[in-house]
Amino acid sequence: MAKHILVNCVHGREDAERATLPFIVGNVAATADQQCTVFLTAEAVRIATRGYADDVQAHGMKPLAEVLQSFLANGGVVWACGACTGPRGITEADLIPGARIVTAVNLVETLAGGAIPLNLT
Amino acid sequence: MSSPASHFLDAAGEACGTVTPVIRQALAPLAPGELLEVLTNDPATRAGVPAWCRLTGHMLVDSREDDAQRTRFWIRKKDQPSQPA
Repeated sequence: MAKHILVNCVHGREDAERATLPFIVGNVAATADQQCTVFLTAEAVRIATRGYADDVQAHGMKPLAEVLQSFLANGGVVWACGACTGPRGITEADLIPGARIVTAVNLVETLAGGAIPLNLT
Repeated sequence: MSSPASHFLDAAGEACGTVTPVIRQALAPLAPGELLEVLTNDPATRAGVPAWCRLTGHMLVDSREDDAQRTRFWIRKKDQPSQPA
């Protein structure tokens, strides 16, 4: 039976490796028939905005934009923390297709429902 | 494993975190029961590919280590389409 894996991502382009790894793992989960959500907090919320990931690439890894699109195409879900998007002036209109802004309640509901949290930072 | 696979995937250059999505993509057009041979050169795939097969239900028919880096896998596509339960 498929599990729901929730991967936290807290970094943006200031740490390309830590920004990309959650999506690599998320894509592995999504293509292994598991449900996966990457939950963006802090600076990572910018990854959900159009164009931001285009010039982010860590040494030895595929470009973030490529991994992100593959993750979404394979059924992955991207959530951006509302407490973090607000102060950064990010709204739903700024987001890439497949991403949405959620609240802590959505996060807690998902975890209470049995999702497995994973923090790679 | 000496019996020929119906399809071959050269996944050399793919790392442990990227090879299984590529395998899934390669399996997609195959008919159930068809055999895919996969070549990798990341030793970490020796743990990852069998785990992926266990998770997805595709059958790992055989594997062979060509050298310290390279490994071949023979994966048979399962009868049902790969989709979340």
